[in-house]
Amino acid sequence: MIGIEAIGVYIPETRVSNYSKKAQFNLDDYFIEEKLGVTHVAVKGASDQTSDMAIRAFEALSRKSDFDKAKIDCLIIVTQNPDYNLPHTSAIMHGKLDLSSNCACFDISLGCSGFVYGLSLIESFMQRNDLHHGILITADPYSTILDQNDKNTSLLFGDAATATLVNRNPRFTSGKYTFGTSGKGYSELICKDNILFMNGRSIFDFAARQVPADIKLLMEQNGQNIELIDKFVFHQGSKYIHQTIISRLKIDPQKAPFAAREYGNTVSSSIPILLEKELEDTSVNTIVICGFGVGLSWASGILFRTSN
Amino acid sequence: MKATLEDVLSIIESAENLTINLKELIADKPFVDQGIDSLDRMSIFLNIEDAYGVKIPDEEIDTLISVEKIVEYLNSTL
Repeated sequence: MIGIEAIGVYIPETRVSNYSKKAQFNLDDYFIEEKLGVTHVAVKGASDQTSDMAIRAFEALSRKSDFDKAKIDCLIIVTQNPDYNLPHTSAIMHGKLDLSSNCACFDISLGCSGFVYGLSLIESFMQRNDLHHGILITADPYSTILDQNDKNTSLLFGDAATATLVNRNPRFTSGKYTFGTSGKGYSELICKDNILFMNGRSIFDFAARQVPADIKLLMEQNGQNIELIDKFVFHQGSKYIHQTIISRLKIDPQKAPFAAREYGNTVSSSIPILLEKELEDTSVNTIVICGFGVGLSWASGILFRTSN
Repeated sequence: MKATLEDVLSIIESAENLTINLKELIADKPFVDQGIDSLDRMSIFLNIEDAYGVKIPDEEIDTLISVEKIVEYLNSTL
């Protein structure tokens, strides 16, 4: 079976404090800490491109997992902020890493749902084509498209990248996925003229309604009881959205961590950043993952531990 | 079907994550003057929409500044 063996994470050291914006946006500490749930957002170096962040995540993965770079036969990058419109950023990363010419490389243009879609895609692609060593990268630096005067976005989004090793020696394999799109809502979270716009209310409503419905469908399709799931790793949109979702699903908050306080909403990286820790917790045998956002798009999956 | 103050207060009470003391909620006093922030108002409107099967346009939201105004709006729309 094909699944996740390891995850490497890169979060830039530079942080911008939301406390420094209290006067600008008329905020108090309580709103920052308990409602947004984000006190600092991570920001990449000005000269770093998406491929550079991806490589740092790959290097983090290489430090913790023993694999032969020359055997990588599949490299997929999830991003909507590529180095260039073309070529695909995975090709650029391929060149920088000097990977084998046998390696299939392509990008996936998805945001917050991107890791879950990406995981399903890389598993299927590798299975169908008898591939053995895949790397799924998430790297989507929104700092390049933020309006620092926009309260809705500049307080939330942070930069990060992750690299997931997907192979036939997995620690977690996946069950059935659920996917969905609401394209009529495309303009509620959009980047035009290189500036991000988000209708906070629309995105909140979408997440509060769609995620609980999709998790219930996921449980049904996998024959699972939601009360017996060990952990829920939801996209870390904001603490408020997160709390609303777990309230609506009546999930024990201890099972559904919100951990983006020190770095922000890292788009498609938010789920794998948390998964990295859950892989190491051997008491965790089942994990539900759900990404939702730009598109509007959503995807959910369930992971089962196969080995420690 | 008409909306009453009691109905709307009951719906507000069931909204997730609200940090307000609903027993102290004053129907004709603006939310912002009662410590109800923008995110709490999003929860309130979400639950109102779900309960009444309506979609409140963004341009109306800023006029619905109190419980009383929500009741008036619903009764002019339903």
